[in-house]
Amino acid sequence: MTERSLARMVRRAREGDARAFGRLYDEYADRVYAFVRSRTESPQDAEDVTSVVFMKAWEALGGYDDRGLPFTAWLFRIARNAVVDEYRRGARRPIPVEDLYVTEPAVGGPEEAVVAAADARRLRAAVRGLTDDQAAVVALRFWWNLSINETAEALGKNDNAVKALQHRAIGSLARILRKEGSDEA
Amino acid sequence: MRPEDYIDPNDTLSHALGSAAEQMPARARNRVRREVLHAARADARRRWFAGISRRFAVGMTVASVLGGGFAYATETSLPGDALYGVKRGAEDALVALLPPGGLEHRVLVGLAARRAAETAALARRGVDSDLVGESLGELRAAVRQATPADGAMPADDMARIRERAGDAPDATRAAIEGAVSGSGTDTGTSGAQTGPTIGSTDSSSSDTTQDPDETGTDSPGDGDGSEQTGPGYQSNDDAPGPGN
Repeated sequence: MTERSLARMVRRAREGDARAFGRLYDEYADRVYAFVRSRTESPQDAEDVTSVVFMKAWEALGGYDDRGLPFTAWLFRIARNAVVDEYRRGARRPIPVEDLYVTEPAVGGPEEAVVAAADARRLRAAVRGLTDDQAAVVALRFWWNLSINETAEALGKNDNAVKALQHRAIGSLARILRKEGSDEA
Repeated sequence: MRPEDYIDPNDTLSHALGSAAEQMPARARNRVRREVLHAARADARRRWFAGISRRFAVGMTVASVLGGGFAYATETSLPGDALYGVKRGAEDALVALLPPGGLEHRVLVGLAARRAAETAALARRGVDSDLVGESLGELRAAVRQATPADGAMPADDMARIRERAGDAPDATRAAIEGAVSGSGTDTGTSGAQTGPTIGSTDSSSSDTTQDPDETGTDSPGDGDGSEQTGPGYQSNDDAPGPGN
């Protein structure tokens, strides 16, 4: 969807057009689900939270002002809040990797280690071990395809903070994957 | 490893991480879509009906104030009636929505005419003099609100307001005339100058002042008194709408 048609769909949905909101769902459902799934225990939980995200987005759209936060960033904030609500509801929170793995990788760069995993399923599992901020940066940068600046806007941080978070996230992923590899060996 | 999970070791970090995004199963995607859109459509319908109701209510109020001739129980209620608060609330909501200009002025004059009609109707109904006095105070306030910023109420507007009090008992009609022309004492909400004695607050109409007991009850012989069976009975005849 082009930026222009996205703006049109948002405007129509804001005016109460459910069909336009359906188009927005089609555009964003996978991205929302991917992020939510990385923060929830089961696919069923992720589906439920995804549903909640879009319900809340519909309710809040009337007050959305496109002169403020871009729609994508706005929707991500709703998704993030829904995940936090899910934690509060009593769901088990993923344990941040930094609590588990504190040692630096012995050899090779972290980026090489992540790519060398060669298995998307292992990578997904590793992302679940990231802290909330790190997982948010991974989701926004690599799954939602936002720029550093757009990611910073969505997270309410500055560009440098996002760069640092991304760097730490890649390092953490590398540590998790190497730990897994050494355990298997 | 499933084939779809394979990542080429020579791939870029972006691509490798991008492929780690977990896909939403198609069935779940469709199910959640149905749920969300069902709720959105239901909410959109509710909002539409709420909007229509609100526009309808405002439209009805405008029409009745400007002389559309609609005579609903709410529109014809008088001070002291159960629905009077609803009527005034609708008027306040309407005035708040109107943009400044000609329509606003016409509506404000129409509301002042309503207050005049209410005062006249209360006096004819023979209610407590305090209530008539309070109504007269409301009339003065409405006249002030309808008076343009330059301080002069156009003659035809004043005539329109007075016209609505034409069937009031003499003393009340004189007090209403005074309130409209601005010559009446601005103490209308005081119970001491209400109902039957309101004529005495207007020096220009002292010749019409009547005994409180005489004007406090309905004017004998005008036919209305014998037919009054309750507070709301004559509301249609006394409807504040200009069409009545």
